[in-house]
Amino acid sequence: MRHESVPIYWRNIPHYYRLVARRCKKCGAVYFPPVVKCRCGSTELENVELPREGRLVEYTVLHQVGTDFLKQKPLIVGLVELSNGVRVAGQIADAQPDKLAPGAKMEVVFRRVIADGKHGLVMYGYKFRPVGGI
Amino acid sequence: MSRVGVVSWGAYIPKYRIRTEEVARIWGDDPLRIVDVYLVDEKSVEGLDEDAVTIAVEAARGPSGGLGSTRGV
Repeated sequence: MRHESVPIYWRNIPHYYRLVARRCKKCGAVYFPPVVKCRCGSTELENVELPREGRLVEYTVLHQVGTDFLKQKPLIVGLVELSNGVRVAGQIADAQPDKLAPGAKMEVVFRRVIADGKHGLVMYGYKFRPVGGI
Repeated sequence: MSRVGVVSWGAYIPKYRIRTEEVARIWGDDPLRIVDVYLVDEKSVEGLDEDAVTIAVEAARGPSGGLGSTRGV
């Protein structure tokens, strides 16, 4: 989730909170983040909630992070293939970088992402966590 | 009359821990005395990206009980 305006965040809450994706009614392709038109040309898409577990495909560790994430340094960002085959990128929480490995079982968790100052909006969203913890 | 009651519950405890000795040391207390008085060895501490809302969500979804099939009731 990038640091964005309140209205944009508000509109995207179903996607950030519950991993709501778009599925093409014609060919069945699933898109996350959501799109308005399928690559098959159809614009008939429906909302579908993605599964909450999957496996880590690959990950990277960020040591240079934006001001919103300084306290969380180093930041782990990974690509996770969910159990239905859809790949979703996201931050990895509650993990040590050197103990992660591709193929590790991951689950989706609901966490704080950024806070707009001390008195502003707290933006929540999905992150991944290794199942069983490491 | 219909029966009313709790049908399900969930719990979640963040994974990070702080030793009671550490808390006592920071406050300038005698660590051994504090542990003896409260009989608490360690306490759970939330992660930087957790708060009351995320903890509540985790408890409601969690595998350790969770609202499971009763969600949305």
